[in-house]
Amino acid sequence: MRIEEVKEEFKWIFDKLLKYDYTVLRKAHYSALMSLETSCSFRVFLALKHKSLLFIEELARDTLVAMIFFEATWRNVWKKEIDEDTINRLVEKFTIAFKPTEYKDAIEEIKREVDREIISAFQDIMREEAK
Amino acid sequence: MEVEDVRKWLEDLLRNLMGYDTHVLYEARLHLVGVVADLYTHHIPLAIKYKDMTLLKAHYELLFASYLFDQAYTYKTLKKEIPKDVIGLLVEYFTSVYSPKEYQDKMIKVGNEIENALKEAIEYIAWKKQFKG
Repeated sequence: MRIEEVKEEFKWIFDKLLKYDYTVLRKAHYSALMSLETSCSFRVFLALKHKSLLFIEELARDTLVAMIFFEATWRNVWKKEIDEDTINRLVEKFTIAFKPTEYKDAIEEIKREVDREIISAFQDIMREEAK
Repeated sequence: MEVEDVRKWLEDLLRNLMGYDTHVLYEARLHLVGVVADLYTHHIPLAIKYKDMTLLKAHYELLFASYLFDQAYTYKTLKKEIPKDVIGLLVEYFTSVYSPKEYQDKMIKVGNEIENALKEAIEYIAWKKQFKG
């Protein structure tokens, strides 16, 4: 997968996310932050204890998901489209964290995680409405 | 400084935290989660790229402070004392990352982060009350 294709994938994710309501995005962002912090805590500890980066490699995906929701939530608040600079910044972080041979799988995993957070946000909202 | 000094320090710190209202503990933890996630979002890809853990260790006191709020909030909500084995685990989280020479300096830093998070939480709660009238 080429970098240009990765950019297109990120744009696609944002096009999709920006169709959601602010409440959904805010909840999904909060949940993404919490899961990042939970996995981050233990994995960073293990990485430092055992002096091995293996423990944190999987966190690159979670950090990107949290950033995607952060950007989408604020774009929704400002009623703005996602800009080229933001996409480039995210793609840069993506290419730092993953090797070219991993791009395709990594982007698919990010898309799945974004979907999971959105579904979980909807479930949360439905639970609150049912109360 | 010995591991036992770390344990004693942690026991005192957690006892003090358990004296706060759950609402304050929750907001303080949330504040730290935001700071930690923001920092590690930048540091993790860089650590992977440069195969260097310096940045990860540089802000570990924030992560550690967040663990403490997490445990204090959990056990305060359960209306239980923090079990000895949980304190033992926290001692390990601290002593296996820092060398004995670093203990004292890091204890001060963790204490500062905790104080700061509590201050932020109390201010936020007051602001929210005022905002809601």
